[in-house]
Amino acid sequence: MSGATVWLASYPKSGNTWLRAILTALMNDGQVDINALSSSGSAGRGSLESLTGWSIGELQGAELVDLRRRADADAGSGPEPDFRKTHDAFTSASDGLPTHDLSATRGVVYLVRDPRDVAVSFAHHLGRSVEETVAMMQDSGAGLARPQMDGGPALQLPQHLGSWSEHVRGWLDQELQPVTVVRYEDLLADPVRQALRVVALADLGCAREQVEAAVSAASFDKLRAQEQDVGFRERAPAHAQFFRKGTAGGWRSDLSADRAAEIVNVHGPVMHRLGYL
Amino acid sequence: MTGLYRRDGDDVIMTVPELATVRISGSAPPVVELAPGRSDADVNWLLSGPGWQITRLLEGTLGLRASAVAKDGRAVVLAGGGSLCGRSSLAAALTQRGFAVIGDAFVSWDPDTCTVGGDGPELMLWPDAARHLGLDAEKSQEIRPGSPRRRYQFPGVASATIAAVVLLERYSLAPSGPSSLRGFEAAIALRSCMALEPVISLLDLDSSSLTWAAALSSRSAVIRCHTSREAWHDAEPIEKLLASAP
Repeated sequence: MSGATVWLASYPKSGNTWLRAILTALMNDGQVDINALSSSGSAGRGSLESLTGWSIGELQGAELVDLRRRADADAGSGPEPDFRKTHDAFTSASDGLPTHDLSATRGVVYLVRDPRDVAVSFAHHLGRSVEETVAMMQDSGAGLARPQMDGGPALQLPQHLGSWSEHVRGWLDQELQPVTVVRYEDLLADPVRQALRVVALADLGCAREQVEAAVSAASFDKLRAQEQDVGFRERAPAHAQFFRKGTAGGWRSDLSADRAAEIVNVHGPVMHRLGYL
Repeated sequence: MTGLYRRDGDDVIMTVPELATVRISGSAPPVVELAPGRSDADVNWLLSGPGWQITRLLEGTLGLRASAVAKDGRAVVLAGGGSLCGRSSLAAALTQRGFAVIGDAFVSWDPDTCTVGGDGPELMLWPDAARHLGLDAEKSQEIRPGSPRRRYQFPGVASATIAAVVLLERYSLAPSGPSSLRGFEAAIALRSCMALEPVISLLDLDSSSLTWAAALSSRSAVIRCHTSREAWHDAEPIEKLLASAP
């Protein structure tokens, strides 16, 4: 192990927040506050400003990329595991170096979900049509946290997603660190087993009973109830509810045959690789 | 080594990757080495903002990451640890209630005179805040080419006796009303809002900064406010905040 960071990387709406909630319960004696999840975010301004000591509002492009790499390395320099969420694609920046610094990494978890279910869930999240979302999932230039329409600042740093297939390939095919793939569908079917894999990777030293309790405390129904009760700060403005269904295979009823076929046509090779075809 | 700062004798060297390396001493003008493709226009804000603040620290002047305004000789300091908590937006809104601007981004407090000073009557505002306040973008100044945030001039005052420090903490979910902090809690909260934290450590000013924060907390009201920068688009939270300040 070269560092303390356990990366929780995923395309959006692939179970990242749910896994973070389980890990939060595990590290807080079964308590989960969905608005205080125990993880850092690689796209947050805070970790960069802890390095600068001043507002990064004027930094641009490559300056931010380099600073984010430094924040990545800094986050993993302590003794305790740092679960670091990212939706960014793993790719090369304009200087030819990887966009993420994985030098202080204890492990990489890549969460993945059937892109047909992602399309339905992501459309709700973005407040866009499924057609627009399916197109976005094919777009190599797609990203998150663009500046707001009213000229206000984006709360998070710009994140490059690329297409869904590029996102998967970028993380799974990078050769800097081995990757533990957690499929959303497997997390749904046997959350204890999948959480134990992550616990082992992070070297948390938790007993199975603790993991079972954490999984129970962070059940999808409880997270959804908590959101309905107090709200969720990570919910996108266009999104009525972040914790919406938490199911697998919903695309069969929510996605038209044409759109489902389009996704398979574009992302088929990667879907096959992950067992979705 | 991931930090941006290092010491070289009495100087502080700040390296912002892909932008510039700046050598700052207590007396001589800063020496700038631009990264390829960057111009003076790209770094002027870096010199007049963080660079100027580092010079103050080298002189031994500690400060808060804050904006400050004053009315009738009494200053309200709007501090916060992170960006986008609405310091400058609130300061600009308060100018429409008769307050003058002392400074933005870095505000110092003199324990001998109990006065707050800043870097002048300019506030850096994002387009949405400026538009909400009805400010004319034509009369603003560019901070950096390509940056949407711009610098606006306001009526100013050089310094004023401190009345209150308001600690703005961004919490978009459930903004809560102002609450007073006292004693150790207030001192620690102020310490967490000090400007240029990495440089404070580099210059071995940690113990001085805690003493400074404790002294400030003992001579000023300290008010915590969970908020969002957009909250200051409405009058009600501003009135509540002003009502809570002594």
